[in-house]
Amino acid sequence: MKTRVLVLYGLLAGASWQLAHAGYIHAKAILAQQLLERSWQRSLQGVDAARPWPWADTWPVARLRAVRVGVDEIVLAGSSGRTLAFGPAHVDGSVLPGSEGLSVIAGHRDTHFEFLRELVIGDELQVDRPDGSSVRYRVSDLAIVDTRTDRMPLDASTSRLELVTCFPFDAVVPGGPLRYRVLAERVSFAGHVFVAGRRRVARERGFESKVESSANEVM
Amino acid sequence: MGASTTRKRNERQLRDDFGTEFHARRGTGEQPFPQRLARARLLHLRRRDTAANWLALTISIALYFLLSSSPVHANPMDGVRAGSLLLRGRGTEALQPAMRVDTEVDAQVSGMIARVTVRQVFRNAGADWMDGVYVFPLSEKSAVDRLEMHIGERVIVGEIREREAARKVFEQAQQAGKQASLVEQERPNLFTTSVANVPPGETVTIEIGYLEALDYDHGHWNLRIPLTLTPRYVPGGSATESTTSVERSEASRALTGFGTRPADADRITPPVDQGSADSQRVSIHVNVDAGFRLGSLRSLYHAVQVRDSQSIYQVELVEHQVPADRDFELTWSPDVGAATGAAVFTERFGADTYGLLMLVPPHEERTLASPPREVIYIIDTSGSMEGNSIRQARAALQLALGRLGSGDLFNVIRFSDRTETLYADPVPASREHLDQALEYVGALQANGGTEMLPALQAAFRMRASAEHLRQIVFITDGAVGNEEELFALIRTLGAARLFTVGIGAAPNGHFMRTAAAMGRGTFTFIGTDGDVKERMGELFEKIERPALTDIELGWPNGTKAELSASRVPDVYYGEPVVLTARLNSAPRGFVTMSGRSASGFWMRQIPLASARANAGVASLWARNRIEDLLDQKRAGANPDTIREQVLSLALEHKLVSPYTSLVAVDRKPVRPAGIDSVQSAIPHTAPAGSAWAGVQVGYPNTATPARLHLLIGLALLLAALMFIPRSAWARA
Repeated sequence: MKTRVLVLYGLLAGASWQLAHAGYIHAKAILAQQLLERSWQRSLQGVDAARPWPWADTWPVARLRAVRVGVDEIVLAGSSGRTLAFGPAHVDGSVLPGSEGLSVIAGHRDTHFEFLRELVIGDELQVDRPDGSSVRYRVSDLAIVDTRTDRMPLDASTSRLELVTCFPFDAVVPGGPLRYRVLAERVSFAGHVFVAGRRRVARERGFESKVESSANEVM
Repeated sequence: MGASTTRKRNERQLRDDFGTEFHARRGTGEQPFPQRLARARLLHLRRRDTAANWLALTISIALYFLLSSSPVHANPMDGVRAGSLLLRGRGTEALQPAMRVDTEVDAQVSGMIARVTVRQVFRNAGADWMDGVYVFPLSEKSAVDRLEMHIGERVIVGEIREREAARKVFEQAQQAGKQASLVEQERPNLFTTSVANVPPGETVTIEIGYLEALDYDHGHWNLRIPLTLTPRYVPGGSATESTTSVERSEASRALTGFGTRPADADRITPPVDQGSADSQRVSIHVNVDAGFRLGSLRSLYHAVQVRDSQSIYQVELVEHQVPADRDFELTWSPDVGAATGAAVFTERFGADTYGLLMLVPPHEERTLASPPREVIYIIDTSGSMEGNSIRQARAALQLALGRLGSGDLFNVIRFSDRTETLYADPVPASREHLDQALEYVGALQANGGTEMLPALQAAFRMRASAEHLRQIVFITDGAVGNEEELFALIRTLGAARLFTVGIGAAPNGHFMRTAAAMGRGTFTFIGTDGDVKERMGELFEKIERPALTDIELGWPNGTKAELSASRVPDVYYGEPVVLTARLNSAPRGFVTMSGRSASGFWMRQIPLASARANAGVASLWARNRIEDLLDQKRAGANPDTIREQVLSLALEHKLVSPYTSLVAVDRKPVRPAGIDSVQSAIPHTAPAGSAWAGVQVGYPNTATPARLHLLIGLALLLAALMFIPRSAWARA
């Protein structure tokens, strides 16, 4: 009898703890982005490595927008587990978003990077940099990679953005080996041999003027 | 005040990493159901109910496990395997069959140089004319100097050109309908072959030749032929079938990035071949002429048969062709009595003589071989190290402390946004000190920011002992913002050696490498945090036994020698000193090599007259020189001057480099005007991964346990419901 009550209380306590924890993870993800907005503004004003709170080991490095799916998030430096709880994080070792080379941003599949599943090839992504400039990318490839065998090729020499999150999106237990990878090519990358091909594609698709204007913006 | 306390508390909570562990926290007292209800239920308990309730509980728990083990529910991505190519959007139906490439490798080993020929047979099985791009790995020490295109009976020899010029030549040939091929270097160990206008149903064979100086370690020579884009095949590990989005993306990068192909290459990038068995095969033949009888000859990952005639060994695969899913590695050692001590090879090229010099420092007893050292460990304990990284770094550091000899001195510095030293100055590695240090290291927690400069300054300020070789081991995963300041400090290092270890991601691979080179140490890169302990173990084992330090060379009077590397690195136990030099005169007299070994000053004279002529020495010198120049560029030398120097060396020695490519073009067009060729990136059979220039980073963990918590919570609630008796429901 007594046992029964204890079991009931135990179960209820356990249940509320678990639910609270789940809520806490999401609340943290949402709240942190609000807090980060402020330090992003400071970054824009030229503060280098503007830490959102004094003992933080991270700071905003970029702002990532996916207009079609209505996403606007602040990207943090360093993809450690703790940083990822606050926002999508730039993977150290890859170039900063918007720079020449491969830039990798990782995010949690159930919070900040849930939107990756909605991206399709051709979607436009925009990266704002702390210096106020922005760079556009176009999604060119979607793939699933296996962390047991794959590594990120960090020194690719074209300008690309790679967004990474855990896969499958709906898996219950975290820590699986698969990742979902969205690759985006920089629109109007000013490589000399490259531009001709791009323009042609652009013409076919009918947005040449757009491509050219963003080329000016970038340069 | 109140607000700030709240914020602090929130932050403390925020700082708790969410792991899969469930922390027991306060809150067990919270009761969403009134006590009254529970009491009522208690009164109405029946034995029968109990049994049913336990059953319900069991079911709920089972339900939870069931749910958590089935990964996806009705996701369109189901059934897609790792590395699968997913193409969406326009035109995806029209995928072209890829061209297929078979590879034959033929290696001629002569002394300590291997001349390797890689024959790539491009087979176009389709009905269209095809162009192809094939990405393949070669040894990172390779000097690629030869390209031949075989079309039927005809052979077209490739020429070395500046990269852009070569590409232009290739593109023009492609448009004109001529058969052509182009070999470019993407990374020191990664190359691409492009072929144009392969007729339907036919083959084109591309032969690529390279030279390589063989590795020598602990008495064994070693030839490695990379066949996959994996870092290394692990014996006993399963060759996974997941192929490679990495390499496909590399292929598509090759397609898009350099402009040979239209920018809509993604549309035509073929799916990666997952049926590893029969798409790509390789045959290997090695001819070993070591110059002495071999005591052992062994292939590490492939079954081979060996024929021996007069100390020349023919090695072939037992199965004639094998899937290219693992690297080929061959090692051999001399027969007893023919131990390698020193060897000199020379080659005349143009007006100069080039020399390759190898010397194995004296083997000393293991106990003798450790000169007394003074090791300062600097460890990053900033917040980003939290989790596995700090745990493994702690373990590795404890391992290192345990290996210190009684004559050694040591100290530990930790840094985050502040620096803390264990002792003011290095102390003897006595039992007592070691116990203190082990305890200190064991208690290290990761927290705070990353400020490196004060930590390095602290290490440099410490009193140095004259009899000890000072080694600084710098372990971090953080970003470096103030490179120049740090470099300026490292220049004052003096006789000390600096070993850098980058954990997790290497934000500052360049900084770490350059710093280590300036400090005459090594850079250890640990891409995935699972490797920390093992890789650090290797590093510590190596650095505790430097065989020879402060190496200097003396050339005979009148001979001017230009070494390929600007500084001779320390040599560790079991390794040889290998140097290439350009000499202004024919070799005469002796070269003197001196250095500091465990037992004191060490010197050795090597007669240059005994040098054997060996083709390829000049190319190897040029290749090493180019590598050194590129390192200088990375270290901040003027890129334009470096480019110019590399370019002239590469053109002179016909070497493929970042600025030069080999291109071969047939004379007459073969593709009829009006028919277009189809582009094709050729898939790999490789078990994925990649072997780019050493920069590899594991993927971070990107899932939270939120969903798991939610489900467990719901399951527990469900279980709790079962404990409410029917009467309670009725009353409600």
